[in-house]
Amino acid sequence: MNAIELSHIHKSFPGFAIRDLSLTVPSGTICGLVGENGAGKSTTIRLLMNALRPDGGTAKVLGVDAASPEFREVKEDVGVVLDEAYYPETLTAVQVGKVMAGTYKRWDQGTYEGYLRRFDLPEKKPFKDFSRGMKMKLAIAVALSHQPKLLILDEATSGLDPIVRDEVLEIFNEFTREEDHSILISSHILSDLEKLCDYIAFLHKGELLFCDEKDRLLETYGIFVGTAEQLESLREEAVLGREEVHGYGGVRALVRREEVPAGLELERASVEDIILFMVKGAKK
Amino acid sequence: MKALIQKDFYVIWKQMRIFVVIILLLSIMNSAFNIVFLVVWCSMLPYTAMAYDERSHWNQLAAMMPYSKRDIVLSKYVLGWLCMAAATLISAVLQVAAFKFTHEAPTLSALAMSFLGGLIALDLTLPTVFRFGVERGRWGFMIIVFGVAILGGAVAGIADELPSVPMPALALLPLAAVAATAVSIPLSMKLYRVN
Repeated sequence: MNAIELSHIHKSFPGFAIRDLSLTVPSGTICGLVGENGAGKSTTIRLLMNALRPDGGTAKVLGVDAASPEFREVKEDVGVVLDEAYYPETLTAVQVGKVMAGTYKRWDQGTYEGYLRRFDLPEKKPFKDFSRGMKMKLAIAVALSHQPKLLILDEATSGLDPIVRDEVLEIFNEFTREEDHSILISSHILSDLEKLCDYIAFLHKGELLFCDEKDRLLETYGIFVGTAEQLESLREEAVLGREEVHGYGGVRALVRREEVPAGLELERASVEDIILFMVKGAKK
Repeated sequence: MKALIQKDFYVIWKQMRIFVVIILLLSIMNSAFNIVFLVVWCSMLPYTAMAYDERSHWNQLAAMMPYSKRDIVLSKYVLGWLCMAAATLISAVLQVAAFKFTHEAPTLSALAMSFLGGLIALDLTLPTVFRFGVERGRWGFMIIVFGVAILGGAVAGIADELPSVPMPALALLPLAAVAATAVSIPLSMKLYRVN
């Protein structure tokens, strides 16, 4: 079964539109949703959770149509962390726990208290006095404490210091050890996604440019470093994007490995390289 | 829905504490206007909760949770009803208790009327606020609430001379409250949007 299936989704706003978005996240995998600010990542998440109605197309989560009445039940199985933790500012972590215990049928108070301790979160301090990192940790603790099968994380690791971020990524990794557990995570920290994800989906101005297995992406692309003349000698189809290397008169380019001569030495491309070259990389 | 009401009680608890003190003070001063003002003011507490929701963008998060639109809308009505019912009940108990010392007759009819007036004020104002949010819906809301409070206070002032007031008109007030609620809740559900 697929954890997420978006099929030909359209949604228009003044000045922005999601166009023909089809995306599948197989159950048991982690998919990273990448894109610039305003690319449509948060809108996609809202469409997925039926917080927005699409103009066209269908969204299914854990096999259930998001527009169907049964979808409310599915929300019990989905832990969501948005780009901000939107809890009312006067609530304390203990009060949030009590409210969530009345919200989710499978709320596990022991798990929640365990995360509060693990994240070193104060129990009685009002939410408004939390730092951004503490707020995100509270949101993550809530998302993980009602036995979800799917986590949807919108910039959930932003604002966390590198040590906590690493710990949180490890928690997400642990979560997907259960074979029916899946994660959709959007982040600007591409190195995190490279560490964590099985799939990378790249959204650009409301359109999905690609969604592919991370390992296949890394195998498909390489970084060419050399002179402009050497680059010009390659087939046009091989080069996806290039940049001048300042001060050396050379160039750096993202190329398709299978399109370049076998002996040509290429550097390993990171996910960040691939995304950046695709966004900036008008071929010259 | 219970969880949403619980959340709102946590959020407005500071105001509630002040409110309980005000109930005590106003109930001792046994005046019809005070009672109407008290109960109608109580009907405003859901807006305090909504203002906090709006400021924290809680509704965006709530849209991701297993709450229905019905739960979200109805919870604000129930919160208003609970606050008004509590104020009416505490006020009635205090007035009856005070009667032993002051020998001033409790104005229970004024209390009942102000409770019904508060219900109608809530029914009239909540749909606008669900549509436009607390900030933008504030002016319409203030006009309606104070209009109802002043009118209610004036009517309650003559409540002791009930025989001179046509009975059908008084009997209509509970009916009006029920009818307004029956229209207001579906309207709020239709107008509700995540701000």
